[in-house]
Amino acid sequence: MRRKGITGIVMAGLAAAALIFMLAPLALVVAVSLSPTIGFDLPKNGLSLRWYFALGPLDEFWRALGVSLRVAGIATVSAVVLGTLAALAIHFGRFRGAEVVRLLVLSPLMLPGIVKGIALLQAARLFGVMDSFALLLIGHTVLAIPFVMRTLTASLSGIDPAIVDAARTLGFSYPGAMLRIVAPNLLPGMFTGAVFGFLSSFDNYSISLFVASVRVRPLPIQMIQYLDEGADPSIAAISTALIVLTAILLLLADRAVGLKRVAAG
Amino acid sequence: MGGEARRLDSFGRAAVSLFAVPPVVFLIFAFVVPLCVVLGAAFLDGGGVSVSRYIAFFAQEGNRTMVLNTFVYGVVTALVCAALGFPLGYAIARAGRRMQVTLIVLTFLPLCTSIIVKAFAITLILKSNGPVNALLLMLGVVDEPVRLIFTRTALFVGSMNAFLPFAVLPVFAVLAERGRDLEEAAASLGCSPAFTLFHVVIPTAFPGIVAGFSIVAAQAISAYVVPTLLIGDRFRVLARGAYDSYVLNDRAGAAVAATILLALSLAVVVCANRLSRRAERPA
Amino acid sequence: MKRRQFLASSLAAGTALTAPSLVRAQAREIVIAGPSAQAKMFETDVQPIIEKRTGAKIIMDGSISVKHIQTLIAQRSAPTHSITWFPDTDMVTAMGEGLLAPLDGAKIPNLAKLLPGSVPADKLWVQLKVARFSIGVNTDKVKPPLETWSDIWTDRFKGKLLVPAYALTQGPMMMTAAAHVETGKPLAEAQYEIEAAYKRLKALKPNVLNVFSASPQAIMLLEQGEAHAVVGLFSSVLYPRMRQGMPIDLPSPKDGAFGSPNCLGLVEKAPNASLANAVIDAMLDADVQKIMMEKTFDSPVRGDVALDPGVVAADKLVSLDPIFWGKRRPEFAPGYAAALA
Repeated sequence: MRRKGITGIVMAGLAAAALIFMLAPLALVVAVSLSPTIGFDLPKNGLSLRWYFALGPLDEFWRALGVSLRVAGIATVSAVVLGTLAALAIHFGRFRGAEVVRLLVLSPLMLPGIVKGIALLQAARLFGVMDSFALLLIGHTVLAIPFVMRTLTASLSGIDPAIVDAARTLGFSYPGAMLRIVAPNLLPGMFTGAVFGFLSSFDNYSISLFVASVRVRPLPIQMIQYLDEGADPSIAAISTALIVLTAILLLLADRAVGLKRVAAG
Repeated sequence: MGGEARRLDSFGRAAVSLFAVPPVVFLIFAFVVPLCVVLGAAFLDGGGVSVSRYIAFFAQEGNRTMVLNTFVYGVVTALVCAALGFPLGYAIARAGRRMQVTLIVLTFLPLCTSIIVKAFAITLILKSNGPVNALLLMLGVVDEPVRLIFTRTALFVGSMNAFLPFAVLPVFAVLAERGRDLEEAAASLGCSPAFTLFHVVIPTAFPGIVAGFSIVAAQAISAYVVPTLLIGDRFRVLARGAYDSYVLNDRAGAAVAATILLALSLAVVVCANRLSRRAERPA
Repeated sequence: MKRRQFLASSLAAGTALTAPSLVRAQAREIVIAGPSAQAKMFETDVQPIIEKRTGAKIIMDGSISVKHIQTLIAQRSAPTHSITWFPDTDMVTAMGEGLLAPLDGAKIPNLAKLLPGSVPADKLWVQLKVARFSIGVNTDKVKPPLETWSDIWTDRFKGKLLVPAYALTQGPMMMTAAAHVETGKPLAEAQYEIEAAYKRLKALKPNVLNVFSASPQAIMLLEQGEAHAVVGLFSSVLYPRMRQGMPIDLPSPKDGAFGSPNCLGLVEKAPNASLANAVIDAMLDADVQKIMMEKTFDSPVRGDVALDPGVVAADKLVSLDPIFWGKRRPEFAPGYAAALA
């Protein structure tokens, strides 16, 4: 490595501290999931896997997980499409009100979940859409778009729109030039925005609360019900399982499509 | 020829502008219209349009405190997250490939744990016989366990913890593709690492830092679960006011709190965007 | 893939995935809007009996009241739910919104067999059972045991007490307990003494560890001894955990414990209304009442069910005046928050 000096050490130290800080609660959650007693607390007197075994037969848990994965998956794909379009228009387009569009697309992040949930519920009646799954998709897409748009506009910020014109003089068509120059810069932002969107949808409680039905219940709704029935370590076991599952999925994604390539360009 | 190319380009740009149509139309139907239906109640009073509900809202001291709390909470949380997120985002962008994947996965992991479960875990960390107090006692900083749960310290530390990943990865997303050549050039010209950091890295990363700030600020200002579980009614925020109003079936009251919250959030984000553009231009 | 193609295929995928979930009012289907904390108990121990007895196919939609009420408002013209199962104060809200249809004694014969006072508000709802709300204590930390409500104002709970947020069902009960200690009037009379309540609540501040909104968190802190006492816990959650070895208990103070009636109501324009009446009636049958008492430790609303140890007779519990609190509850919210802030 090149010389780093004190600055490099301080930066690396801060990065390591931030990482440890972020992961500390997860370590606690994993520990709680191994507690042998019914209390949500660190294990005393030995470890146990009883809360994991308790998950196996819970049909409603697996059903809820399936609903959440489907909603988050479809909503994320829709949000990536819509959010990318918005970001491209904001950055490369030439129209008045780009700033307004930017704020509009970001604004779903700016309201408490309960307001978004109730708004969607009321609008559902207005538009005559009563299907829970469709409403969940709409609500979660709205929730995920801001993440995609905002990380993308940041990624695009270094690209001078004039560079597209320069490429045009080299004989590229306009879309061709966009694709050549812009696409590589988009990937990390798109990936980051998509994962933010997916995980926000996956963890969303308050929009889902108002549009979920008895038959279509995403996982957070089910988890709150477990919590209402009594806070035992099973919610920690679910969380730990999800941590492991996410890690595996991300690593598999890396193997399959090359997260490295996406990440490092 | 040049004139024609320019005309074509401006045509291309107009075409790109049209990309905004699908997301905007979608958001108008799925978000703006529903919101107007719900928040319109704030401006209706006694059969007419009026701001009387806002006057009544601000007449109460508790509500004014709530607005101030929300603002301080959102801005401080977002600032600290942006400051802490930058070094990690930079480290991820410059890490070797294997390390990079590992770091990205580790940064995403906290987000796949329910915020509620995480808040419970934070309470465990901070309770009187928890690890933090044990450490403080061991180091001799305190003589007996101090109360940390349900304090402002707990609220801010816990919220930073919950929102930090959102400030890390936008920095990575910006730096992944850019800045490396400049940094190397600066180094080969003999610039000190500190000089390179402040004059090359941070300006390049700035849009990512602002993006992280905006994402965190917007979410923190509208957060309900985290403040409720980490501090409760001692530090009331607008989202909580809106929630309680709904529970008590006061829909107009909830709409008033929500619109103020939205305005606050928009103001903070607009300021951040302005700042970002001013910082980018002279550079 | 082209965008349009993609959108079309994702829409198709969405439709295919959702098709089985469309909610249609089946001929014998009754959807109950009820509390999520009791959904599992109901589905496991009560639902099979009721279905057998009435021929209904019951679906328990467990959630929080604010969700249910907003949904019922949104679906006012064509509701999905036939029956509401709420605390009585939320029933008042539902009544105010015109969401409830009066119950008919001829269609629900059990209405005549209940304890007096079980069918209030011109028969807009009927009490199903009464949950006992009292002070949850950590038995390792609270020695000697609690005796009266005024004990929680003493120094022994300094910084160790959790009190309920006003928006919880327990909020008005905390107000009433404070007014009772301040004025010396019995709980039932003290509930109207709002100023006295504020005054006494202010004096409680040194003892308050936090004003809680999430009962599971409050129970967690109580079990760990981080909180020594929690005002406003109820037996159906606390007793099962106590029996699994947690050092907690729910004693009733000598000067009284609160009752929070769980009530059933018939939704206005309810789908399959006559069947819904039969379901309500079956849930008031003596054997069903007994099962629910065994599972939740809540008090039955019939006098002919023998009480288990630990269960207090419904008429010995102080239930707040649902009309007063249902109508005027929003008014007192800022004062409550200010007193404890």
